[in-house]
Amino acid sequence: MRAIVLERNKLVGRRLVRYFLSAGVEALVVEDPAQVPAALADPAVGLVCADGFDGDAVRAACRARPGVRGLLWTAEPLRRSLRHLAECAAINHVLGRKDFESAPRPWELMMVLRRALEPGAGPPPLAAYLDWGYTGFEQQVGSTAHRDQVVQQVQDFVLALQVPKRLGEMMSELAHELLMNAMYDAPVDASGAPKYAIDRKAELTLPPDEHAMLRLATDGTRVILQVRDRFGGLQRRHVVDGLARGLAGGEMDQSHGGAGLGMTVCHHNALAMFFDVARGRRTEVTAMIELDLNLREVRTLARSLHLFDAVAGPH
Amino acid sequence: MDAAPHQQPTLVAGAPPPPKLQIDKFADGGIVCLRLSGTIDEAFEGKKLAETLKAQTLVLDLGDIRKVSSFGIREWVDFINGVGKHSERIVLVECAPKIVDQLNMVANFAGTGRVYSFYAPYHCDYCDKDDRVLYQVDRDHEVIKSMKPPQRPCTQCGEMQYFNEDPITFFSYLAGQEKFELDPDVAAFLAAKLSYAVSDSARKLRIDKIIEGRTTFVRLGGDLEKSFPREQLAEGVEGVVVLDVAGIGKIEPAGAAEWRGFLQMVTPGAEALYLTGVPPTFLDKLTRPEDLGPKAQVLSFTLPYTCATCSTTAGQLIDVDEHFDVLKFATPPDLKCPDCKSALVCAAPEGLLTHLPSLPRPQVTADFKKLVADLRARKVQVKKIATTVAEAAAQQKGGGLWMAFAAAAATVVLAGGAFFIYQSFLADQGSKAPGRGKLVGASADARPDWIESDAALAAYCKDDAGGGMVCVGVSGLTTSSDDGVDEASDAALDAVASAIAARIEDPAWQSRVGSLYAQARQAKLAAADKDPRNAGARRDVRESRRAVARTLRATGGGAVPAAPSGRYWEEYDDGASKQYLGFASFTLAPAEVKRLVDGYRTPTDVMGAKAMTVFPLLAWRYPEVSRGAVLVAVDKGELRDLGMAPSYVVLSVGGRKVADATGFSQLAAEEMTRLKASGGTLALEVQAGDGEPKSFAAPVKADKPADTGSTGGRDPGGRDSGGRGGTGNVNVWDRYGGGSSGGRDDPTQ
Repeated sequence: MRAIVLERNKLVGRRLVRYFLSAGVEALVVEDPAQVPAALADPAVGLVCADGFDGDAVRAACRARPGVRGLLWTAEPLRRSLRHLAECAAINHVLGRKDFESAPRPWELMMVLRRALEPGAGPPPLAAYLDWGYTGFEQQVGSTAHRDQVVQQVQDFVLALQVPKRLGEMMSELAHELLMNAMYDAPVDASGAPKYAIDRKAELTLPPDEHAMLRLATDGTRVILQVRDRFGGLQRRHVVDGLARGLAGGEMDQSHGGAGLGMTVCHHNALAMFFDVARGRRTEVTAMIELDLNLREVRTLARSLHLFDAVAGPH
Repeated sequence: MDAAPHQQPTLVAGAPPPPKLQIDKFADGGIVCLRLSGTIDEAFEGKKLAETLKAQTLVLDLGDIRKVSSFGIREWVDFINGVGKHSERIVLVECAPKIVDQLNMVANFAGTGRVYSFYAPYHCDYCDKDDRVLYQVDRDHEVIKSMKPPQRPCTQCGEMQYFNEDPITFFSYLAGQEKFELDPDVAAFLAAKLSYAVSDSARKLRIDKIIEGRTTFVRLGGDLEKSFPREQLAEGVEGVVVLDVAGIGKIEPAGAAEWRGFLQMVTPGAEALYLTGVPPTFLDKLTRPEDLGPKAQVLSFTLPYTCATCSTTAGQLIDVDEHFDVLKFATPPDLKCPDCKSALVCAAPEGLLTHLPSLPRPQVTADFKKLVADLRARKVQVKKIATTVAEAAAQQKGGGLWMAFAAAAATVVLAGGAFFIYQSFLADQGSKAPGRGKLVGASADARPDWIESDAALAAYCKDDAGGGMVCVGVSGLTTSSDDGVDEASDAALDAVASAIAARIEDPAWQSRVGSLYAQARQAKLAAADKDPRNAGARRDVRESRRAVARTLRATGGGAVPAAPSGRYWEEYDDGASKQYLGFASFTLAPAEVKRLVDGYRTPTDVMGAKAMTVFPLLAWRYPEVSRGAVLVAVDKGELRDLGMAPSYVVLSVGGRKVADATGFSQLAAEEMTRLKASGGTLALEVQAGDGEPKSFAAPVKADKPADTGSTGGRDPGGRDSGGRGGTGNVNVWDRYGGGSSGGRDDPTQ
């Protein structure tokens, strides 16, 4: 597969070519959106990448060549790139980067590229998110009371890493949010109707085959939180539209089945979110936060969003 | 799990988990305070809680909220919308950073409520300590607006700690909220009963007096401090005296001594002396037999009672006469919750209860009790603060200095308002001004018609039908007639500036310029009014007005008459010396008024910002600033890059003084032209908040590097050397040392 990389910064462009080559993707760097259509004439091109600033050029390329996928990176708030995900189903990834003179995180880009090359391989193991082994725990969560204990365990685990207290609170908030979705919203009956979503205040005890699974792991530089359910019902619109509504910062509008608050809370509390869905079998949400940042940096760093497999849409 | 050490959860069996959200409720009359601690999530019953709350003012303490889930947000919004229907006002205090996040994220998170105070996260790198600093919207308004929280000393190691958030994000909601002050009764409740941080002005003693037949009813609120004005208050207090001390907060030892002295002064002239609404602290410290003396009796007091059903702790009023038979055994009376009728449990300390038997049984009739209850319920008419000159003029009929304050302090409720009432009461009795003496001479046979008030330091304007106005100033007592008239002239010009301010209805001007001086002006005027004999307070007013007059003449563009249209003085003899009272008036034609209003309200574009000519009343806060330009908006551009923010006053550009907004625009354009030709530093002198003016500087690159004839000129990082001459490819950093001047990156930052 070949990729067109639209990047105006030469230094970043060279670095990106290196990453792409390492992943087994040949990249052609162009600096002007006007060069994209010509480069697209190459039938081997399967990926067009650019900063969210040039998202319109990526969308135009995806429209012009069905089957081509788009990939964006951004140093700005995710809200500005979401527009492209909402309006173009071929764009499923936004990679946050520190500033316009930096490349996205190499491991994150490598994961996206390698998965693009092997679309049917399924989600990577947790180790793929971390360096050289890790420490963590895994919990099957089947009741409201156990949920609260696990959420507290997440907070205690993160705080034991000598990070600011608010970081621990952010991760536990994230765990609570993801578990609520996996326990109350995900389970459906044989006809596909939600079983427990009607009353999120109710105490819940799930049968063993409906338990949610939570994993938390760290390699010392970042923390990965992963929650999985076995229903695989999460839709692309839940993520993209929900985030778009929530990040718009408007009045709470629940007329479209939710105000996007849950997604927004997750977005605020994680630097990168990975959504993996095997329809009817599995929804896996993975969140990442870096530990060697102060709170101000955590707040201001651009967020990443990745949609894989069924949640990514028709591709 | 993939190759990971596995930890099993530790499950605690048997013990019920602690509640995730703790809600404590405190109530006092129409004020209800809810203190929420913990996590707001799906377990929070927002709608249900809202249905149980009814209050005039609902105070929500959110300082201990640690987490908020998305479903918790929905519940919270239901709650805040629900209580908004049953509460006249909602005030959010001590909001945790987590709550500030929600305010920024969810548009209607505060409902109809307003945030009074919030915590900002700080971090010290030296001792790795996270801290929280309380910001108040009244006290810290400018910092919030500027979104530039300053560094501050770490409470642990003393090194500087920094604001540990993205300020633009963190302050985005709060910066958009208008400045406001707590109502005095709410402030007193929060400060005195719950030890919340409120502004000092809100805790100052307030006194209201009502005379009903032979009964003098005095209501006191605020802290009892050394400054308690016992002589002033005791003057004229006679007959049956009822002192309502329910609003008394903290009692300092010196304040307690003043109170005892006050009672001793009042006792001889009083037929009877009653204390009502006595709060627990007052009961403990100032109602022993030796404190009360021979005449004072406690009619009623409050004790804290807790309702387990409502989870509410509230002060309950106890009538001493009604419950005397129980109180004499040091026992609190059995009371029922007024809301749910459950039995209440007294939460007063044992030491306080043991004091109850020493209270004498008051000898009062049922009618008198009813009168006292009526008087307690009656609100003293607070003088309306005029928002226009016309309103101020309308209020002048009563005479008194407070009228002069009104036009200026449009948005500020004056603490100590009761003193104004007190003063006008004296005036009604015929004493024009205490200590003035006998009128022995004047500059004319009769006092001119344009004088409508002779209250010392008064200043007021009267609109004429065509849009012009006549403004009159009155001096304080001076040692010469010339000094008196000069001081009166300055007072009249201060009134002119106030009248102009009232006619500028632009909200941007009000928030960026008007808010800069209102508090300082109000404070100085209130200090002079509170104690007319205070020479320091009078001097402050006199000097501020002189500075206002100077600025008005400097920036008014000739629209201000050079001399007063009317001058007059009176000579008084108090037996020891002669003193003079000066009067002056200025008459402004409609065209002159319009010119002044237009001149001060019209913004000028300067390098991405909007600036207005410095307004004369700013001199109340910045007496040294007589010329300059106030930034009212700062958008993308050189000024924002330089660190400029709205409400900053620009005094000079490149060392050249700024006269007004237009001058600022011209100077800035000239300076930029020069710098772009040759490179250099754009330097501004700015009055940014109180204190000395600050310097702001940033390098400006030449459009084309100056041809110095040397080689190089760019450092290895590609930065231009800014016209200093070629550096010959040497390391610029090494060459110019490690200072923090602009022009290159500073690796220490």
